[in-house]
Amino acid sequence: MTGTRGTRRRPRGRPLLLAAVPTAFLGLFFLWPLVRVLGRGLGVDATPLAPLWDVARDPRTHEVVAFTAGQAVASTVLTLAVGLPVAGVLARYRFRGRQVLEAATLVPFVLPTVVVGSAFVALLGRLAPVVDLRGTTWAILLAHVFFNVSVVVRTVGGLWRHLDEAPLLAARTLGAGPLRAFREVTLPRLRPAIMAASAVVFLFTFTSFGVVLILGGPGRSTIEVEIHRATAQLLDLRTAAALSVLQLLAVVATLGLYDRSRRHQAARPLARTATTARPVRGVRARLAVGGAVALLATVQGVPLLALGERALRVGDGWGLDHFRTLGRPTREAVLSVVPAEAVVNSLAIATVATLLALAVGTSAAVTAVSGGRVGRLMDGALMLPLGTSAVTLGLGLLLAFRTGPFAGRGAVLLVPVAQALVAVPFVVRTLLPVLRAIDRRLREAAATLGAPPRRVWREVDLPIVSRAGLVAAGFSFAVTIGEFGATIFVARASQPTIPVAIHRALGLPGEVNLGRAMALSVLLALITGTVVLLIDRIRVGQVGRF
Amino acid sequence: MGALTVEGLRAGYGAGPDVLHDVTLDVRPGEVVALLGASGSGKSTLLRCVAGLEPLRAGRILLGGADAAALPVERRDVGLVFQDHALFPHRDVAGNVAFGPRMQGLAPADIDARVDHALRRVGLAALADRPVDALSGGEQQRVALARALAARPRLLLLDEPYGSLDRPLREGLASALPALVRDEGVGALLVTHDQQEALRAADRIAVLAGGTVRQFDVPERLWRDPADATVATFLGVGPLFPATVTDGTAHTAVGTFPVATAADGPARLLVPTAALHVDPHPDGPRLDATVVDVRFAGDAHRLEVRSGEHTFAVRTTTADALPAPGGTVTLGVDPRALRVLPADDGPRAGSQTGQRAEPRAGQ
Repeated sequence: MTGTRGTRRRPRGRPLLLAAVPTAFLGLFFLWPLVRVLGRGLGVDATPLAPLWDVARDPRTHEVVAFTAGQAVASTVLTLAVGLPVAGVLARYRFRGRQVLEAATLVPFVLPTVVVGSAFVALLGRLAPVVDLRGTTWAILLAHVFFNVSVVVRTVGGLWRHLDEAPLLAARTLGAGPLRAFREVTLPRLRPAIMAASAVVFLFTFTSFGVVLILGGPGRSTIEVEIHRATAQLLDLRTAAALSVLQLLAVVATLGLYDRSRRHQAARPLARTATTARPVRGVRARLAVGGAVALLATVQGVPLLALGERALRVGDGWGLDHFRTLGRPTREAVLSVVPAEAVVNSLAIATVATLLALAVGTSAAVTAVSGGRVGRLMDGALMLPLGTSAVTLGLGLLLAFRTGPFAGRGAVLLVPVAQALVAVPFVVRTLLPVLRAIDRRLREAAATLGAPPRRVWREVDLPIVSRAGLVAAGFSFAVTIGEFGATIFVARASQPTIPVAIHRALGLPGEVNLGRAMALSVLLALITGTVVLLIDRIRVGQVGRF
Repeated sequence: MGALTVEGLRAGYGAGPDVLHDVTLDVRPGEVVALLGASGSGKSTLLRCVAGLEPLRAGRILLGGADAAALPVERRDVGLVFQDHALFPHRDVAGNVAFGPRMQGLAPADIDARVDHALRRVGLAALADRPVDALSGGEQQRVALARALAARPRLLLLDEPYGSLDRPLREGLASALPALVRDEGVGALLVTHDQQEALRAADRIAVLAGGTVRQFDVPERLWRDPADATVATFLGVGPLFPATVTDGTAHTAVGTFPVATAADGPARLLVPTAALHVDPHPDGPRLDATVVDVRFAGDAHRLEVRSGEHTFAVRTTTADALPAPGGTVTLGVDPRALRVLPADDGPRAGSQTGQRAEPRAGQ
């Protein structure tokens, strides 16, 4: 029996070597802290389960859990109500500015939570004379809708656009009216996307931290906010850890339910053409498009306008005064640095965190597609950080590295590490589909043309992946520079990032501090917005095709 | 020394059953061999084995006379052309074609010369700077061919290269292949399921069925002397009637026919449609049939007729005496064209006759 070497067999050492990078990083900075949180929360070192039991019995916890779940459900329903019509219009109609509008829906999604918090502080302040929503649950719900509409628009719209229109037309020829045909044909086919979007929005709002911390008042606190309160105000790490365990259980249960519902969904045929959109003709189409644009502008545009307006409003007039004060030290000692320093800090930390996330995420993604047992393990392991909230990550890092090389001065390093942890899933999720979609035959063609395995990777995989890598880098940067939930646990008072500085400024009294918070929020929004718009251009231009 | 020799090859995927068993064939330099078979017959697997993309379970593959077992895919000197072309999306036309020469470490000037030559061979010199996704399907196919040629392989492997193209384009490209292969002095193994394409492009045809080569020969002989019923049916030579042979006569449900050399016993009689002509009073053997349909086919009329269990087509140029659908027609049979085939050919039955590759007549 004669054996022949095939290209499918890769050099043996490579997957293992590559797997070492993400394994070491995630093991040290994700798994170990998580173990510490679980250990503390489950009371492994003292009375087993006592911390969890104490927390579970506390009436305050019941209130918090009920509020967390209730506001998450309400936010999800509201987001769907706004997002579905917009998704339908964007998917069904072709009109000028549609692409810009689509890109614009993405901006709020990647805006840092503190910026959204600031924007709603500004908006609600402006609205206060008419209707005072400050400190109400409505403030939180509106901010969540603002945030998550793009999840629905992108997820559902993506499927909607590629739905074959023939079955819908068939239903119409068989006597169904437009609404009936939509309900009988289109809606069932959109179900998987709607379910997916709902699950994502529910998870996001269930684990919402920054928005609730800034907009919620007494009695309006999510589990995440409680964890932070227990840590920062009560210095009660035992309770914080127990709450984290509770939170993890809830998230895992949600993901499990979602996964089960998804498994029952069969693949549905899509249209061959990239889009089934048609031009806007007739009164109804005009009304639909106009309505969707107006809805989106109200829900997503107005809060941003309010933020900009508040940042520029000085007394009764307008000016850049709030921006100018960023360079001056504060009179209050609480904000111990010049705000401009926070900007420099943030840029540097986000750059380091992005590089870290890219290194870890790329090697993890490459390992995951390389197949074999190592690859499959990695593929599964990569899902873990996705289900862990930033606050839990931050608490874990705090618990795990209070002593050792990352304590004291070394703590500077923990901030980019914490941010990279949050960004790694983004990198992996961006690269994996691209890596998976590279046609095996491209590699085979390169091999038959004389390229050895390593050269095949360099000539075929790398050039195709590098564009996706650019997108991943952009996403990482946008995510890390706005990261708040994990950063606030590990950032030192002397070296705040922009989001941390905004949060502090919002907590201080006085027009100067509010103005500064608004100015910093505008700056941060501009940075992330620019990065995301750049990414979207790359996507539309090239990467989207693979 | 052949460009390719395959001896007793056995192959399959994973732990699954053999997809190919005991395949033997060869390709000479400058020759196009078509690997003709229905989908699932193992054609593409054979191609992938030759390219080194699939491991062998048994047998040998010789490239230019040397055993290729130890050669990894990148050192086999074979040019593989995929059905959907597999062009590198991140490179333009010239960049795709230059890939092979670059891997060989040629000087830039030599690479350019190779690219230029290959593109000119396929008539695409003007499109060198285009991105590949701006090309039509036919142009992409030609780029894929040029990319394979530019590496100067000793063997071209074409995996249904025209499968995704329209018929006229497919036929044009297939017809251009023999001259190209002859001029470049490479051998070519062309995988196809289309008899017309095989006839246009191939010097010899290997008919693959059930994972084995049923017959490997020049096209004329395949159609004249198909090795068994499977080959005859796949090529569409003509109807096969169950028969009993006694003393040089085949007895069938549709008549008796002289078959001088056949051995006595149960058999199947192949009546090639090319040996049939409409003739109310034939001199020799005759076949009576019912007319199902009559269609004008440009240069002749095409009669669809039924005889016994079979429905088949007969061409006739005698337009003035056309039978009507539902009527009967008498067909004269050229007795020299009749063939007696084994009554039963299991999956292996044809392999003995099938793998005896005979030298091409007149060469």
